[in-house]
Amino acid sequence: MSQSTLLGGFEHFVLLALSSFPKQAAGMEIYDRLVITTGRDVSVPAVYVTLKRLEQRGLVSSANRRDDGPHRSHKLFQLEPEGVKAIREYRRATEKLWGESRLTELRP
Amino acid sequence: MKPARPPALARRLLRLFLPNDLRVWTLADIDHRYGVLRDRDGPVMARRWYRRQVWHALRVALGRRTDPPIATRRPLTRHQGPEIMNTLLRDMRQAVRVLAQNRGFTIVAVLTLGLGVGANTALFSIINGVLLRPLPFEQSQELVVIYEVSQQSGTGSTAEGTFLDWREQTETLTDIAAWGNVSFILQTDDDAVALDGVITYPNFLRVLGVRPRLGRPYMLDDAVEGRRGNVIVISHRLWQERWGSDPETIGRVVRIDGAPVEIIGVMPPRVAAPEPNIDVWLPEKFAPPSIRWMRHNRWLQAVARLRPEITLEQAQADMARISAGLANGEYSDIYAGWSATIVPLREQIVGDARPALVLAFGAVSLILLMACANVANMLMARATVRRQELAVRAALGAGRSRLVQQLLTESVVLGVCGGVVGTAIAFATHRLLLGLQPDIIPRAGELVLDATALGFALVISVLTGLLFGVAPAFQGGRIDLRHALTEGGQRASTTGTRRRRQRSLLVAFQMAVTVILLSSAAVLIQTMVELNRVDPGFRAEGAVALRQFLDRTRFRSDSVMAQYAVELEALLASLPGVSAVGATSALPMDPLGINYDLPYRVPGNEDLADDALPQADYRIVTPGYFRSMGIQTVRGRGFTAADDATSPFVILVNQTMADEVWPDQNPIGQRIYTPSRDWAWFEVVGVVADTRYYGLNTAPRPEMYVVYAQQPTQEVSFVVHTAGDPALIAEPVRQAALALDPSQPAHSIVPVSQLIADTLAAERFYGTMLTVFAGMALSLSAVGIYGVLSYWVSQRRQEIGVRLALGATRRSVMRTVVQQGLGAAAVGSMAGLAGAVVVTRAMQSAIATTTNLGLLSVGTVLLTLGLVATAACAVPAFRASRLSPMQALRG
Repeated sequence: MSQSTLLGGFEHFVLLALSSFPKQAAGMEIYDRLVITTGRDVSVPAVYVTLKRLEQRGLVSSANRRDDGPHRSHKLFQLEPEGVKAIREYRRATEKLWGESRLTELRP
Repeated sequence: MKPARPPALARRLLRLFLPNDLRVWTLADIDHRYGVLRDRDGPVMARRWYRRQVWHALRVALGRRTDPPIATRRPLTRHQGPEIMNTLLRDMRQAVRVLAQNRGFTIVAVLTLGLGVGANTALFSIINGVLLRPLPFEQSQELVVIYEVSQQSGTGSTAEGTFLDWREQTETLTDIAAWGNVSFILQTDDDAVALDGVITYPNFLRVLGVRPRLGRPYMLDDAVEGRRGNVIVISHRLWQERWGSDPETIGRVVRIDGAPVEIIGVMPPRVAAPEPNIDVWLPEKFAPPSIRWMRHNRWLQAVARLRPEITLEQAQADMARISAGLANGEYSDIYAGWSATIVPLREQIVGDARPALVLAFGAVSLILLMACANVANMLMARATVRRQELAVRAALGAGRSRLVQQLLTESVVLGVCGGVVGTAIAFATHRLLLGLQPDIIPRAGELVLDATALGFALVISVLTGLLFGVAPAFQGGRIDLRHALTEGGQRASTTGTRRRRQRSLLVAFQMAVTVILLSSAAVLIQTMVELNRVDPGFRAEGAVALRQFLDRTRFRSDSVMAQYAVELEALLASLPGVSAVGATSALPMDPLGINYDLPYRVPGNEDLADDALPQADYRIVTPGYFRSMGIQTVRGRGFTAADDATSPFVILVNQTMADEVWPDQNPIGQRIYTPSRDWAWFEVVGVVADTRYYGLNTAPRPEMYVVYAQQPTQEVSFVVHTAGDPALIAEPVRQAALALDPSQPAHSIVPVSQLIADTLAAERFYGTMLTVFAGMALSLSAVGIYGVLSYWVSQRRQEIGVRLALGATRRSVMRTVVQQGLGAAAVGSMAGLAGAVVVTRAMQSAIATTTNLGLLSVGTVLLTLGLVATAACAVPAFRASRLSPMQALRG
């Protein structure tokens, strides 16, 4: 699937959270990372639906977990090169906007 | 250790809401996390977390964006109000969404409520303006009207001399003013026009507490004793129509009855001071009474202001003291048997209308209750359909009170929507009611649909929303979750019997109200039909009446007036199509007529004291009058041209008077003495047929007629009878009067038939209003029965399917359904009949001319209701009979 559209905000969060893992991560691990870093309640179904959507767009891939990990999830997710590119594009777009922002506290 | 099991219902909902392709592994992960949380944080926190995931899954399933679900707890900002307002706003938004998703239901409910709210608001605005709002005068609660009262003559006017004595001797009234109704001829350089006006004592405007909108009021110094003033105040209507609202009108000089007067003020619009349709106020400072006539000629009304701290009873006692003094004084013969009575001005203006308006408001309140009953029924039926939705909300943590609050908010929003539609209906109804017969409603000129009425509409919209929403809200809040979420949860529950009874009760209530309203309308219609059959004693069709108030300054002598009448009659008789012409001082049933009643003596009662003398109506007519009005001469002869100012005084009496005074004698040739010619005697030359002068439901009274040539009067109406259409003769009649004397314009020209129609104005107004209300009630009842039966059929599809499958005929199914509907209707109708008897009796005192509720009316009402109810049952019954047994059994 072509990545012609910019990431949504939550998609970006999910990809960033996935990118913080060295290799693969289970859905609930990504959920935990989001809860810890944002300090807020996160919707588990939303995380899973977003992961499914990102997989359909080719930004992540999944594989069934063979061993019995602590989360006992059935699927592990991994960031694809397209996903990395999407994160970078999002960051470029965001930084440009921040650069033009008149709110001084937001300037990098 | 067994793995912790998450809450079953929440898990089932989660399964339901998660997308198919994610369900298995997402559910497994969430279940696993539940176990971890349960071990770490305890079962309560774990369950709470698990239910939150169900809510999140529902949002995802409803298509809500997952972006941004991360910030589910927004930080408070300074713009965020108290939590309760947020909840309310959220509930209102949700309510609007729910109503928008169910357009059919919403439209029907809003229109139903709009009918009820609209009718109530329209009538409330009338009641507010007539009964509740203060009169448009300063400190109006202080204003009272004073009448002279006698046992013989009843309540009536007062005389100039009496008024001046009251004013001088009162100790409880700040001041007293008086006014008398007259007709003026206003002349400008261009033309002359006849207007209604009042001659008042110069303090009148000050006592009444009304200031002109433009210019100034007249005062005591504006008139010389014994004379009219040379200033006038005019009405706003006259100022607009005649002078185009030109401010330069102040100071303009015109002629009133030939005398120059200056216009010094323009009254505010739509103010009846003291009566509606007054165009000219002219001051006259009555001279101290030097002749008896000034105490005997009772033509004035009196208005006064109570002193501060003085009660009505104290003022009444004061007037009683003054009356006793007059009765024992120099003019005891005039005042014997007379006293004074005081009534608040407000009561005098609105008192007669109060009972009828209150009854009418009761009727529209019943319409509103019916509308609420219908909508409540619809909501209760919908609550069953929405069981799953409500169950989901309950499963997600909404307590019963929260559910009830949400459902009540939906009802209130529905009520307010109904109120918006109702406001539009109120404007239309208000205009229709005031246009029907404005003279029936006092203070009609002041009535507008103002902010108070709109506020009333808003309040009853919210209240009705709460009223019809309470039962369905509490019903909806009582959710049996397990039952509601399983299959078949939409079918009739085990508490269906109670709800069926509630719905039947609502249908019966609507039937009862409809019967009451239909019966009331039927009684009024029956009254009008019966009155229309009454013979008035004269021929009303084919005649117009030209009312004249002859200019007092030019028509002073008897000969001048008599000559004018002869010439005008001749001119009118020469018009094409005219078959008869006559004149009279007072037309039958004419509110503008000058009705005298005079005492009389006949040989045999000459020694009776003045106040013990019998009285009879006294009318002055030309010889052609009886023929133009179709009144038969039953004995002797009528007046002729030979009965003029030089011939002996002659008199005609009506049959009632002849029977009363000379029961066993021939009245022809008898003598009557009246004070009209200083007790000269009149010879009875004829007896004429009775006429109902005061209304179709008033028995004829004794009447005596004298000939115009011998006793002319300035107030005279000419009756012109034509073989053709009387509407076509009106303008030629007006032109003929102008041609004879351009400075003596006609006051008005009316069809004689309109005089009769106007006496039925109250019956017609209230009859029309009640018929409209009854029509609304009938429609609402039909909708109610239809709704209840449709729902009943939908709940019994399987049962009906079983019956059809087992061989029941379609006709028997229809019969069952119709019986179900008509059963409740019959019970309600019986209750309504009992109510109708009570209400129609109350109507008799409010509108004095109504008849009783007869068998014909009852039969008509029940037949109408039966037909409508059967028609309302027919559609659901037909649908039930057409059910396919297989489909019905499958559900």
